[in-house]
Amino acid sequence: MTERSRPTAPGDRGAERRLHEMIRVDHAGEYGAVQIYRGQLAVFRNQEGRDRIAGLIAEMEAGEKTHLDTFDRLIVERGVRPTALAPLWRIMGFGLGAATALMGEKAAHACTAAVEEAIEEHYAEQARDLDGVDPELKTIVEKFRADELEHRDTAIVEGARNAPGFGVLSGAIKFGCKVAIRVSEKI
Amino acid sequence: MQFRRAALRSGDTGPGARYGQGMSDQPPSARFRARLLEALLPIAAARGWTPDALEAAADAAGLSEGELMLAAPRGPLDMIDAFAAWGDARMLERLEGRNLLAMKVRERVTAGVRARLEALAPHKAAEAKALQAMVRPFRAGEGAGFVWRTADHIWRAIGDRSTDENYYSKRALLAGVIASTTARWLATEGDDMGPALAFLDRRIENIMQFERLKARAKPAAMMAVAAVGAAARTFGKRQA
Repeated sequence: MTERSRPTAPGDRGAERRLHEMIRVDHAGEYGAVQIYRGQLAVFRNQEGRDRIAGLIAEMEAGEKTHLDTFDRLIVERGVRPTALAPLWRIMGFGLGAATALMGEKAAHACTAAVEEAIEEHYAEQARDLDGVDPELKTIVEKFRADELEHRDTAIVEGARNAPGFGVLSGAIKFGCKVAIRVSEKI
Repeated sequence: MQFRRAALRSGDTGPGARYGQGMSDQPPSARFRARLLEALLPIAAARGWTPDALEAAADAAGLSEGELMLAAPRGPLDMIDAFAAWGDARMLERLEGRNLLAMKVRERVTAGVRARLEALAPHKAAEAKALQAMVRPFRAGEGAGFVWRTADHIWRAIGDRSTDENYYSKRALLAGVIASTTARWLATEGDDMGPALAFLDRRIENIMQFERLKARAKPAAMMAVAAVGAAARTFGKRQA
């Protein structure tokens, strides 16, 4: 009806909406990342001789969990609506982690490298947009970006690129992450 | 939470308080809307939330035709929206005085819904007319949005920290409770809140039943983890 179609009233709600989108997508991303590592741990903790990689992944999972806690806090403090697709990200994240871990250690690292690279690029883009807009969020995003880069480097040192079909696997995962990022900004 | 409440806080309890006095940083549209709402409430209580009522209120508040357009570009819908937001702000003020942390969750939720009814009590007739105006099909989405916003305010005010699907299920359930309890309250003649509050208690009990059901469903997620573990053991052996 006509009463719905009105131009936006004067006043700057657009900037706030964009900040909320950023917090929503970052929260969803960290939520998914924690689930990926939990999926991998569910596999490696049940296999013999995987103590070393299980330890590495547990460390990265702990890192992502502190990131997630930060965005949980920001959602509450700033009154942001969280993603409505948490169950989907939980199932897909856990499934991706479990599936790549079942393919072997190298595939699991390839998954980590691809995911962390996608998130790192996303954070780099946000940090640029946040310059001079929101110093608190910018600092957080830049710090987390450095952490994700560290995870990616660890995965590469551990032989991610030697995984069978690395190019296809990594490309598919990165593409999936980018789609998820676009979706989580809005939903 | 603090930041939100501060934004809504105000010492005055008149409709002008939300947007008007001492808030020169508010855009003109919001300041006119507050003045319009104050003049409109008694008129809408008698005549309903109609374009005519808005014009009469604009005259009473000394607003020009242009200022009326700026205050409420979508007409009555914007004023019902402003009334709902005003009710939310008064509700939060009432909740701030309560020691919510000492209460159980169900008591906090009850306190929230009750605070909203009490905030609206002086304008019960206007609320009844607003509900009448909102039941039209083409406004159903907007009306649901207003109730959702109230539910969101209550959950945040009482300290909810959920950020997953529980965020949505909690607000959806509470929105249903608010809508039905408000309807029950409006169906009671006079100032007696007893029947509506008894109704509210029963609806909250329904929610608690649902929450208990959800708690029992949790093992499903744990089974998924166990299944992956079993697959890992089988697969791991085959490789070795």
